[in-house]
Amino acid sequence: METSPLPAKRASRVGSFLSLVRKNKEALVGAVIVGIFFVTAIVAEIANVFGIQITPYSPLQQDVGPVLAAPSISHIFGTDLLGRDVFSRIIVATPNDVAVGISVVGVALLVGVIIGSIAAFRGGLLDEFLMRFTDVIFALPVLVIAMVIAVTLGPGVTHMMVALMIIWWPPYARLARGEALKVSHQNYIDSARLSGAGTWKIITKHVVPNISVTMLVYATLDIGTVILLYAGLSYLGLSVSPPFPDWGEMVSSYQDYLIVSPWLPIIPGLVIATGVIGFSLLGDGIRDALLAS
Amino acid sequence: MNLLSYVLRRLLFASFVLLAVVTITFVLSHNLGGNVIVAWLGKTASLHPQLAQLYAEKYHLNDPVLVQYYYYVLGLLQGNLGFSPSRGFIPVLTVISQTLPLTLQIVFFAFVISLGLGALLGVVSARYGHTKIDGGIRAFYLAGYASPPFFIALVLLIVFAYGFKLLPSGGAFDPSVQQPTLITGIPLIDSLIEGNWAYFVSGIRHAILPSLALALVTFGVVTRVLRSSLLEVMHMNYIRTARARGLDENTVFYKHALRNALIPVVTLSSIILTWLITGTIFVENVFAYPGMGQYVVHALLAQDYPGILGTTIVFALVIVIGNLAADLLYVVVDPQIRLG
Repeated sequence: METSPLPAKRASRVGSFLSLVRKNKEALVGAVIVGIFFVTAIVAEIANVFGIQITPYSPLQQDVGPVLAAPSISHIFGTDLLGRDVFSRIIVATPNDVAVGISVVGVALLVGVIIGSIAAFRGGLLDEFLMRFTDVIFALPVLVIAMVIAVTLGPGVTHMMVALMIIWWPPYARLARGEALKVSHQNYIDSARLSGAGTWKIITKHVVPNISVTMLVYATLDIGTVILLYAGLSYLGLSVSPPFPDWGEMVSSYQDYLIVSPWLPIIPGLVIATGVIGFSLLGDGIRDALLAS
Repeated sequence: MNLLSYVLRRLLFASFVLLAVVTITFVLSHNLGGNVIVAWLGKTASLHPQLAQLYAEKYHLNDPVLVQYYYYVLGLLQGNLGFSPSRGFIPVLTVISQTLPLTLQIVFFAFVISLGLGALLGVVSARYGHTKIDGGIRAFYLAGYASPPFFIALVLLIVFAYGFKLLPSGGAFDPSVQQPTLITGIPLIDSLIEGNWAYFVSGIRHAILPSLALALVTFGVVTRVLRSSLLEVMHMNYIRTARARGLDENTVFYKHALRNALIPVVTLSSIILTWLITGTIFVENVFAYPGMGQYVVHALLAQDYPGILGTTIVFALVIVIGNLAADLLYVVVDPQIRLG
């Protein structure tokens, strides 16, 4: 069935899509920012696993420099009250934030596609039940619910991840259902049905590949939002336990030194904002490129 | 009749959402510190055996789960949210009645600024679509949207409170001014009714920075949606007709295009409201503003479970009521729902 010209055609489509993204300056900036965050996260995590120090100073060691030093060549983001190097602390915190962003969005994508396409293809009462359930979860105030779930589980990065995963999927289910409904009217779905394929096979073989692009664009935009929310929970002291650093936690513990060393809380805040902007620009850019192609 | 069924459907939905929140808090309250009583009296529950016993009897805490659930919901309907250890064991409801009005004040101002600034920039953005002005506005709202609320709050604090010394850095009012007597419960309104200008001015001055911090995070959604909806509307046939009738461009833009383009903005108000209310948790903490957001953070730090669960329910209630109001407002502005 698969004819040989198809992969080539697909490759050229991917190529023209990439060139469209490349032409879009905003998407390019976004891709660069996201790239830097990813590479930093991966390198920092690998280094952590093997116990290699890649940061200029040990992130946890105190008095590696003068206390509350302003940014300089030896400490580009300055030092905190305990004389720890802020730049090193920011680098080692990167894997947490990136991992939470990707895994929460990944799980939401999976759960959303399953619920949304089952609702669209089964229809009837099951559809009604699944979508009303989705509506109710969607209407819950995310941060507040994540907060109480997190309090019950106790602080910790994994617990935060789980708390967010429990409530993050509803928009994905809605989007997937809408897209799956559009696909369900296509002729190839009818022919798959006629050839005796069951709902599950139709969903995995025909629906998922056809709705994946829309879903992935939404997911890209969404990773930034999850990072923002995680930073909030971390700011509230629900993620890492001291002395291990996290961006949100750094802002909250450094905000007491706002008058003496304003850069201390400002720098981790800027890092969070830059990451979120990166994902937004990339997501917007991919969407524009898709609309154009 | 359609209108009635729409309103009834929304009301039914709102009660489902509240029921979901209450069920979640009920389930979670059973998983705190190994004992349900901890969810009502906090970690130090064992220090108050008499109170604990009273609670166990009143809320049937030794009975089957379903019976407990019934009494839990009944208790909530009667306003019982437990006692707050982080506030010296006064009822959570009392703490909320003191803090919620202050939070609502800044949420109200933030909502107004958010819609006003958002709409203004959306209009300018669409008017000068695809120019440098449009690009500048996009950069501004992207930065706002991408920044955590606590970060924007810190920047405002540095610039306006510590830098230019224009506005106070914390609190809800100047402690030296006389507080208004309780009339409506909302201090700013009460001080207006009483003619207590000193408090009113002080209250407004203390509310500006927290409200602005919240608004800077949310206005971008309004700008973005209004811009694209305006650009879309400008291609519609009725706009061409209006132009063909010889109306000048300003009349076409503001009288014909803007009115219709504003409809999608109204649907956004419920999202914005949710963001603003949850944003208070961070912003109030930065500005030491004694509202419900600051209470949650204190409760979190002190592991004050009754405070955390109680504020969760009240936050959800406020958000559900706000969303309901936005849904009803939508009926007013969009004739398609009214007639359709």
